Amino acid sequence: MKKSILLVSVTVLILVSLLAWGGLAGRFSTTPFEAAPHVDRRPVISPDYCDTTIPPNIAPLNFVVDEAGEECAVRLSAEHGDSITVRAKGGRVAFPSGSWRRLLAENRGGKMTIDVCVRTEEGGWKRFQPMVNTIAEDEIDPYVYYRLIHPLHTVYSDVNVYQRDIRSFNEFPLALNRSFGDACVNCHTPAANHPDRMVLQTRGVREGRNYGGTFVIRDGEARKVDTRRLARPGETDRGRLPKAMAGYSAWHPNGEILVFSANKIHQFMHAVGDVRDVGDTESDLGLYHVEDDRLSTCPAISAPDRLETFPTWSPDGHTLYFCATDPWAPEEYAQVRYDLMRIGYDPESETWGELETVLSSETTGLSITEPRVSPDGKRVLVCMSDYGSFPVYQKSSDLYLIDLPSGEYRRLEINSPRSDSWHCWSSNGRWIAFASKRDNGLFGRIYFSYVDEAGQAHKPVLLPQEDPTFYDRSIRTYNAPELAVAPAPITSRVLGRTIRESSEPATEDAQQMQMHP
Amino acid sequence: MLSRRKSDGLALFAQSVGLLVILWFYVCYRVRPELLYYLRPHVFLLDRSFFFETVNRPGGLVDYLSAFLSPWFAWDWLGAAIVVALVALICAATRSLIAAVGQRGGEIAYWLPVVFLVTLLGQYCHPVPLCVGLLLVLLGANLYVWQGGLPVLIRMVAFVAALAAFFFLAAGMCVVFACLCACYEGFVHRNRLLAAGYLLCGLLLPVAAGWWPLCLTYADTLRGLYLSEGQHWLAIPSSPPLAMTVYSLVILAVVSAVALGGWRRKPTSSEKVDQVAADDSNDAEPEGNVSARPSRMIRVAVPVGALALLCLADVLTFDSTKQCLLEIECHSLQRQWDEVLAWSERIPASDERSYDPRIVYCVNRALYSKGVLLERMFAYPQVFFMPSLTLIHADIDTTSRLTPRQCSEIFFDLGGINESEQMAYEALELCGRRPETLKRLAHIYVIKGEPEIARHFLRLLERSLLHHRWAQDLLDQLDTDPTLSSDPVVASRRELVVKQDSIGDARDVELLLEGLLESNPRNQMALEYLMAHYLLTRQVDRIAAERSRFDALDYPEFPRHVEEALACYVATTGLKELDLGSRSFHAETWRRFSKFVELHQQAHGNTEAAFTSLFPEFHDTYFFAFAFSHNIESLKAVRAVE
Repeated sequence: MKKSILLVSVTVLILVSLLAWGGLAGRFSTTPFEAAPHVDRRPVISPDYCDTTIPPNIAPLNFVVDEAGEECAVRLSAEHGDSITVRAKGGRVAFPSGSWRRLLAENRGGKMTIDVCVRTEEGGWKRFQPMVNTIAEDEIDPYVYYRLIHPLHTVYSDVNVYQRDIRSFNEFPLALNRSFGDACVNCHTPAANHPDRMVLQTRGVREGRNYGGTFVIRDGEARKVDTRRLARPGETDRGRLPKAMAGYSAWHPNGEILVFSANKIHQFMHAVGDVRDVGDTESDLGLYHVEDDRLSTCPAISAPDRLETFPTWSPDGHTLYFCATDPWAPEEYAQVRYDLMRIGYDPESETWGELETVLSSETTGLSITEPRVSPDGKRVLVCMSDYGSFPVYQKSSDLYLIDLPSGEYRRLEINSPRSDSWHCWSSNGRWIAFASKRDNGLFGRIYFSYVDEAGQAHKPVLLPQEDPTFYDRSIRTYNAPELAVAPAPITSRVLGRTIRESSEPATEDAQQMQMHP
Repeated sequence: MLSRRKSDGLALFAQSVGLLVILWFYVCYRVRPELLYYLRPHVFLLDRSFFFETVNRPGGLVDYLSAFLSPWFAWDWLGAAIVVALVALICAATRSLIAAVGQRGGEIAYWLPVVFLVTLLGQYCHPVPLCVGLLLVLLGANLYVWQGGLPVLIRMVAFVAALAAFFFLAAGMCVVFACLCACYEGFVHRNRLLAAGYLLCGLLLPVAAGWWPLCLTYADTLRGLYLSEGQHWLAIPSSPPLAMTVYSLVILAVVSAVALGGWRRKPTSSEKVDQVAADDSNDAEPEGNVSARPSRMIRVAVPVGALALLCLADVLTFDSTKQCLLEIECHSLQRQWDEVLAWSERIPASDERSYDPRIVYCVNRALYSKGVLLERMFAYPQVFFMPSLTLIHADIDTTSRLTPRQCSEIFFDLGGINESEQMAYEALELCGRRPETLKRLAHIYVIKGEPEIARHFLRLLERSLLHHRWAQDLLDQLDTDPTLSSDPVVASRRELVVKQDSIGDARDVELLLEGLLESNPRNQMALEYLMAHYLLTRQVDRIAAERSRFDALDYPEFPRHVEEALACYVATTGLKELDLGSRSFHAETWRRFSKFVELHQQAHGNTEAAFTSLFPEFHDTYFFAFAFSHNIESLKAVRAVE
């Protein structure tokens, strides 16, 4: 009996050893990179990670080699450190995280070459022209928040905000709407200089409860703020903002003031082409003073004959940039164009300066929206599109960089024929993140582009996924990416509970105000 | 002794198999699992991310297993087999538990949940999530009982760990697990304190975990313990109190059966508490209980009684109207129009749901597809006071919330591709990843000349359990012909597509249909639906004004109801004649109209009398609808009497 057990054990051991050896041998056997005949072109890979500038702290850029063949071998090499060789049967190339990180760390500011060999059905190998990427010296902020939704819908039941650690493939929920009555969640804005602060908007009425509100998050706690107080006469210094939920918002660099827009939104559909379109029929700006829970505004940013929206602060906090246009009738939607405005502001005395136009739509012939000032305060990155205030639904939407000292503006080279919008700067001003529909015109994806000293934007990199085929079958769209230096200052469960517990019985007003694109 | 036990076992096995076979036939032919499939047809994806997305919350494993099992209901025989298999496993697990707790076979009690399950099936409540959840906790309880010989401290630790695990796997069903374990501790180990502790734990753990750390609502925390709201409108039971009660009874029956078994347990004098579990696992029957073995008569009576109960449950609670409604929806989705019309005639006339706009919508589509919408639509229940033709409401939000799937479907058929796209996304958001929605979106993007986007939906379907072949075929076709010019679905819609942009939000069905006709005067469906819309909104003047639209489609004569509407128009406006072009009124139309007017006048303004006298002969005419459409209640009453 003992003998037979021993015999079986030895046999099993030998078999396992043989299998392990076979697997390892297969993995590490030398791929004939040098001997393989050359093909006079680059391989087709998806996503297109070729000639890009990549952050030195990004997760492995896994990709699919879209070439006919039995197997492929990919070698990553750079001037310093060991090269990484990966073989893949189905063409799905996934790099080991540790080696990837080391390679990037040792070659900051250098080049990284991707060599691809494919074994044909006949058994021979062919080697494609190498692809070269630049590893930037400057890191990108390690976190990005975004909203993940289906591309077009008025009603919502599965709308969530996530945060992704760009250095890995870890994605964590920040706000899961199933924990607060399936309400809509949007406009998540972290405070650039204060990782412990952010703001998030929700809207939605379910089963007689209104879950809508502006949630100001500080030190791990969320507080609901009713910005509509500003619309009620007698409670503020002006009291004439539209009675609408807060939309776009931005933190003052001191982390104590939040500027927000209150927008009344008009959604409509096109019979041909892209379906959805959105415009603001009313909008004004207001300030929320976090410390003393107070709201304020001034005539220049809430003029009765202008629609003001997309507020953002200069890095020194002494200038408020925003976009504004004249009121319009629904049939004139295609003529609505926003100007880029700015106004001085002294946070100490709460006094406002003179309103001035930074760049008018008359000059550009395009509608200027979503301004974001670079951390050095020298440039403003904006969207320009044929019309309106919702560039994500417009193919014409492109990113433009305005040089503030000279007032000159130019279209960035990285734009696509499809919508490029929802952009933001990294804290060091060397990277921008934006949502682009360049792949197919429907699903927004997050791209990172390096912006050098001269203001040149380099070919962008798609937010990598562990499974490189992920984007091929994902039917959700990524929007409003926001880079952050730290993880969200609140957990999704605490946020969910706060939103749920601060819901109130729905009024008729709330029912009407829940619409949001 | 042994041979008697053996023959008993065989008899029991035969009885069980017999009952399960009868159950299979019942489910397969009476309930028709395919109808349940249409209540939850969501695609099950064979990939890792789908698994993690589904299981990452309490009750996730039950959701995942249910999502895996539900698609097979598309085939009646397979759906029935799954139900029977689940039922058999639940019975076996319950019986085993009864045997362990009560030391007896529980010959009668373990069949009790089946009776309630059948009743639940008759209410067209999807049985899979309940069965899977129940089975999971029953298996857990059996496992607990199996290790019942361990010291009490280890048992306690094991219970707490298992309870936490079951909360995450089956959400609220963990309460059932706690109850079953408490029964075991209370009745077998006579440890009442521990049993009470288990019960308390079972109740508190989900509530506590829901509050912290998971921050769930109570509804989410206790999911599985109650009948949850379905996404499909027909998933809402006809009688929610009955369905909820039956649902609870299924769960209670399991717990009660075990508790009852334990209650009747007679401890022998030699029984030592710590040995009981070991005795149980050895399946040794104490002598004291032998006398309590059911007599042969009882054992024969059990299956007969179970059958009688099943029959009674069916007679008393089977929702045949719901079955009709589901059949209509199901056949409408499969474009089996004859069946739609046949089933619509089987809805009891007294049932208000025959006037449900969603059913009327299916019937009208069937009538149009059979080419008789404007000939026979008033022979079927019609709704005059709310949208039923296209289900488009004046408020886009209402449309999106109530009927996005149907609106996407009808817009697609009409050629309103953008509107169909918008509604498909609303359906995707509200009703989940239903295969027909994903397939339609793929078609829409091919029609719109965006094959790359279509591929996204096809690649998703390519990973699904049931639709991968369809998706692969279409992907292959797209490789060779990105326009899918030979695909009849695509080609027919492409002809109808609007070329000129305009803005709106699909809230005005009249404008929409007129726009479609302006874009393509040969859009027959838009024409017939526009005319039907005019008929239902009593706009006979618009029918008269737009009658020339029939020329573009070469109708040799006006459809019957249009002719009747024109007769009403002529009569109400006092016109001497109406230019009908090459067409003319049928003499029969005038004759009937004259008779209708004559009988109406004989009632001397008494609407009720007029209604009663005209209904038998004219109820399927537009004259009648035009005169009495506002009196829908009377119409329903008369139909009910008929």
